[in-house]
Amino acid sequence: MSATTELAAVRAAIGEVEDPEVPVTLVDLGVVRSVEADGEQISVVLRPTRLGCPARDEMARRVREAAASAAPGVPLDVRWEASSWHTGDVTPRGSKVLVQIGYAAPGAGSVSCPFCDSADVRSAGPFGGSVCKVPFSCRTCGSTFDALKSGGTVPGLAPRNRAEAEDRVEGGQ
Amino acid sequence: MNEPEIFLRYAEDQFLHGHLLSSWIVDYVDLEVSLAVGSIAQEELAHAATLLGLAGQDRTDRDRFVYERPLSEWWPSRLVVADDRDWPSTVLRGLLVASAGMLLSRGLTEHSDEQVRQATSTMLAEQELHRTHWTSWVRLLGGDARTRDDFGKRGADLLPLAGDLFGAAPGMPAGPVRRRLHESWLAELGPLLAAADLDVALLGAAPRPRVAGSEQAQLGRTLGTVRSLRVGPDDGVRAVYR
Ligand SMILES: [Zn+2]
Repeated sequence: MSATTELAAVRAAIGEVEDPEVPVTLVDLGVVRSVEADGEQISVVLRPTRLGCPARDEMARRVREAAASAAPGVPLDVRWEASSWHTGDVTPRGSKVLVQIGYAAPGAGSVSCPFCDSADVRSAGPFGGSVCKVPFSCRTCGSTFDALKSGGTVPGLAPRNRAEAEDRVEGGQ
Repeated sequence: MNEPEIFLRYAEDQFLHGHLLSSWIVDYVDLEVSLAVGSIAQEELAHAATLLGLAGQDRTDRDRFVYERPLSEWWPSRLVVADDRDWPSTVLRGLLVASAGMLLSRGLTEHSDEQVRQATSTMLAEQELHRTHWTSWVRLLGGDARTRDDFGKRGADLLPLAGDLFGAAPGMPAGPVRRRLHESWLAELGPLLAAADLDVALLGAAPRPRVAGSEQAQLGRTLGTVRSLRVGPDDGVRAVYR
């Protein structure tokens, strides 16, 4: 067995690995960046949604386990790159699953409610229950939901709601 | 600037500040505050680990860096050693650390090494969110008649401690880059601090040299708490979680 001959099997196995928190594969989330044969070994590059994502160890463990079961004995190098992940890195398939389980569609221009599709939503601040999420609520159906965030930007509100949120921050939350 | 030295000092400051902030996760005040400060703490601890990685450290080195290194080999800013945990001090210290961190990160985003450029660009984006958060709070505490005086008093104690954030440890080159960063920082913070009735001049006109951790009594107490987790032979705490 060599890294080159086993590459397709390893890619397929890693392609099945799901995020520890949401039922979306790491490939669809845009966390798995590449799986390549590199001489005798297979190199995997991962990109965290935030540098402080606490699930990094578990993700890497799952990737190693999947690769080892598809190609036992082939040396594997799993490396995290410290690049900026963006909500636009989520694939259309990943995005569909996220909306189904109650997240705002990632990478869209402005946030709308995953339950009723209304754009009349209210931001509940730029920090949420985990470092990659920001909380919202929907004025139309009353649901609360999370959106994923990238870097220094919080997913945008439609212009009317954005002006209102800015007033709220200026007025002291 | 001596780069490994910059990464190590920057990592120490991020680690100690992240550690200080982390107490707000469990000292429950208000859900939004706990979520925000908890997220910032978690990201700063990750930034410390990222910086140690840029300095060439692996997991074992990182562990040694935090848990075993003697106090005489630490050179953190006085600002992140002082452990005033009241909210006004926390807010002001958060702003100072985030704004200084952004200047350091931004300066490294043009680095010749791609890994350094990527990591510091990512940190910079995350820090921007932190600075925005602290800025809103500084405006609030400095702008409200009920909190303004107390905020000013805490600020007068804290600001002089922050003057070494761009400072070099003795024996390390002070260099014009540090001075320029410090000056940019003063220019950037001046209007915001003035609006809260805080005197930016308390940060000093130029970076102040750092002092060793062995000369900062509070660091010994803080690291004592951090290290008390490592009890027993063969690193007891890990045996519990494995
Ligand atoms: Zn709705």
